[in-house]
Amino acid sequence: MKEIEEANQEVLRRMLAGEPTLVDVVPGVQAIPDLADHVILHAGPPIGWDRMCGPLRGAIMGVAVFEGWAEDLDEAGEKAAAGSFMFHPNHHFGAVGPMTGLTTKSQPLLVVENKAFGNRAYCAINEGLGKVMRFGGNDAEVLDRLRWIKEVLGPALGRAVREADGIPLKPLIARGLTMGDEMHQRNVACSTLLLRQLAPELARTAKSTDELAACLGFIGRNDQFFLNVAMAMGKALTDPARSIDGSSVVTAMSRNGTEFGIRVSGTGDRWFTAPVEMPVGLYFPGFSERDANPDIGDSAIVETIGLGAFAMAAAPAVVGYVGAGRASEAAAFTRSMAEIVVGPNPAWTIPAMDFAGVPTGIDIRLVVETGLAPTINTGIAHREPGVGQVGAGVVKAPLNCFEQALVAFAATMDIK
Amino acid sequence: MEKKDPNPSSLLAAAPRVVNIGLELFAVNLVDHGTEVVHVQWSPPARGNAHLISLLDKLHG
Amino acid sequence: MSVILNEIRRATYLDSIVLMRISRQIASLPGVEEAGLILGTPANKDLLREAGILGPGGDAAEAGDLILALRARDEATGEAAVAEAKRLLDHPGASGAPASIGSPRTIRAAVKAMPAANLALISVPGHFAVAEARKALGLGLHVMIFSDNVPIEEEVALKREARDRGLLVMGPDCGTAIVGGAPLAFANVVPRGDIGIIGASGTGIQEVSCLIARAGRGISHAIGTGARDLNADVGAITTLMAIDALDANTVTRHVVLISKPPATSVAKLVLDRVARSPKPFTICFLGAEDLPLPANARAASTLKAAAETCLGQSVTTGQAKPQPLRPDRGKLVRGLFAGGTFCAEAQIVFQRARLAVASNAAVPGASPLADAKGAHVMIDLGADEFTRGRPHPMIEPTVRDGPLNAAFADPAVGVILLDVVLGYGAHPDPARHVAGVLAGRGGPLVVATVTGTDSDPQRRTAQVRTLVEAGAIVAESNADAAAIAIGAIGETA
Repeated sequence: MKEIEEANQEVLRRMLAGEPTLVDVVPGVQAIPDLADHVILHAGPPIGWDRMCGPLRGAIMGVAVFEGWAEDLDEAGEKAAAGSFMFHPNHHFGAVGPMTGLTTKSQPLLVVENKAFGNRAYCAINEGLGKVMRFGGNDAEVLDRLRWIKEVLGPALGRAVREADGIPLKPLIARGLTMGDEMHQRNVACSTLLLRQLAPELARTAKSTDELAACLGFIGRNDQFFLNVAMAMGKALTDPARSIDGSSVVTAMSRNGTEFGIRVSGTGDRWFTAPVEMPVGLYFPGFSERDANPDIGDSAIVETIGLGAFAMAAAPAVVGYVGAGRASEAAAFTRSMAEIVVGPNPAWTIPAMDFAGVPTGIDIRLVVETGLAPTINTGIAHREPGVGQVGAGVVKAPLNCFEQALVAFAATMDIK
Repeated sequence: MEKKDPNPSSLLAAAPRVVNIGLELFAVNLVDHGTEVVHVQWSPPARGNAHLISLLDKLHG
Repeated sequence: MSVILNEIRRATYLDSIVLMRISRQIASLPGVEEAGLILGTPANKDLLREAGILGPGGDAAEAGDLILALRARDEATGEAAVAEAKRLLDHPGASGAPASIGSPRTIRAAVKAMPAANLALISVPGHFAVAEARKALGLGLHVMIFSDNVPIEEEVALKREARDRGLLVMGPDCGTAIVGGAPLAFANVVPRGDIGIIGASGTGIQEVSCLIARAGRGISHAIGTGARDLNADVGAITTLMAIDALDANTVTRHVVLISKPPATSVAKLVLDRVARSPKPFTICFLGAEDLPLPANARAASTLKAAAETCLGQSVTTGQAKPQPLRPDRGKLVRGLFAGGTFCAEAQIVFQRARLAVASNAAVPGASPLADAKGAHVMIDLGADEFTRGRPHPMIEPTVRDGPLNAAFADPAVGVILLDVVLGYGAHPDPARHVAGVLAGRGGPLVVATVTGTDSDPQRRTAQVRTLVEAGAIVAESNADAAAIAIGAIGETA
């Protein structure tokens, strides 16, 4: 239908026209004034304590202690169960977070501004690999790290980014795609490029050599550092396309560990949810599917803008890592996803596919017609809080979300 | 950009270039014979749901 | 006490040949009485119901779901069989086709990958075939629909739309076409030449094209029209467009039309169009007598006659020597045909010889099977009642085994007629299988035909040799085989 095609082209145009720039790092409440005491933003569509999975609860208990809203984890748990905390999706406040994805007042947030449209999006700083809050970790080691990020790394990064006058992110992504990154499970190239770019400003604005060394070391040791930047970028790119009447394009995909939610431009901010699926992938030694938590995180925003599994052809190394087949089959994933989108992104191209642009703008009509659900590359958390990452794999967005969305979208066009 | 000239004669002008939807055997045989063919990994639209198929027809117009 | 087990796999599609292979493996497990793996369309649910294996579980399936249904002698056997079926579903086995992740999932994506595509070959379940055909037409492709079970109203609507767009619809239920030398669906490898064929019957096209090939000539194109194109409702839309196309095709110098006799009004429509063609036509409306033909057309009452007429020469190089019947056998002929057109043609040849025939696919004047009483019986093993949920006998020769063994066991049967069809899509070695059933057995005379060429994967000469060594008489055409059978029982063809 012509109206829909035109609306979809407009959505794609907006997504492609974005100029995402990392402009600052600031305390949560400064970026999002609504982050008062006891307000906890989480990944995924809305959910209550009763239905939350283990890692999410674990993270919430930890962050409550970190913020000083409870003396210890037990008290935090009781307060949570008693309804003392206000839970909201990150997406409702211009934010995103990986895995449990908790955003609270004191945590420093990366600020990405879309200079083409003036909107901003936020994401906390990636804690690193191993036992971390985003995987439900909440012991002293985890909380100490969060304190260091709040007191040292966040402010240092903020000073450096401001000193650099902001870091344009589109060119970084373009380079990363030529270097084997897909920006979801593989971010090592972009993390390195970003660090390389910020290093002089970090040095110039550091309070001491020791502090500088600690920051450089922390970022340098974390292959996934850039993930959170990419996520905030994704949100910043999709937000201007969020409410175009008559568009069947997906503007958000997100999971809270219990439900998978999508938003579609033509139906505005409505969530269409269905139970999350289990990732299928490879496990670190000693772990198996029995240990896995269901799919969780806002990181699917990355696939929503054509990266992650959609750009798998750029990252053959990831295919084996997520147990999705042979590296030589990486292009097949990207070609598959190309069947369910509006079009390619000419600014982000994949050398191995003769510089085809990453497939961008998921069209719910095409998803429902083909039965090809968007594929997402994801980390796999242990189902018990506090254990951490146990593997990586691929997961599919539930078709049911798209089917519900199609019915609702058709209704906006007066079609039943 | 349509270079097709739709009329039955156009089908007979040269070896056909085939899109095969359904039995994979037919595509295998065409490959064997040297005919250009693309095999479609088909599955029922909308998983066969008649209501959704009807919505899709209207939404694609 | 037998148990019926049903499971549904949501939104799972594997093509019907793959599914049948798995069904047969499951059905052959000890203790499993019947098994079916099939897409949950209404027509397919009927199949399962008739086979006595549809339960409430399967009945709840939607058209896009896969139903696994089976009947086993007890619960434990059934559960084990279900588990095995699931294992096989997850590993359907390597095929020669390109990898499945990344293969286009829609016609739209396929055409993007191959913008010069000009023909869609559609063999999805009939329930979905027309929608896919429409998408293909919308993308400017001609269409060949192998699928059957398409309602006639949909065929009519589709062909009208196609005609408006200047596109050809070959089908539904079109089993054979040869375009530009490319064998589409079930077709033989035949040299290029100047004879064009338009056929409503797949095996009819196969027989005539192979006879032409064996005479050293070739065909330009063989256009399948689908089984019902010459019905009054459809009004010969595809046939007429095909005549236009072959008229305009410079390579084609002679056209053969093959069909069962059309409705009178449609016959007139077609023959009027033939009259306006500058090219000579051979009209083979099987069994039709006394057609009022235009000056550029000649009638042929059998497929062999059609080949001879368009070639202008005989196609038989020497009759197979008839052999006498064994004294302990009766004089009844039993025809067991994979090709429905061969079954029809055999009935017609027998009727011409004033012999009573009966069939499950009776031509006008022949009796239904129930009224066989002493008539010669011709069975179309490719008819619906035999192929529901089972492979077509051209793909799977074992389908004929039961009836073949029954014919051997029946002392009233003096002659057996059977057709072996070669080419792409057919079984890789059908003669070997038949020879295995015949080997070393006395009993009825077996008169066989082998429809194929030496360029087919199976190689006709080798297949003929296998059958002759097993004791069969191999006739050079289906009409010849019927004549040999008639001669053997002491009648005149």
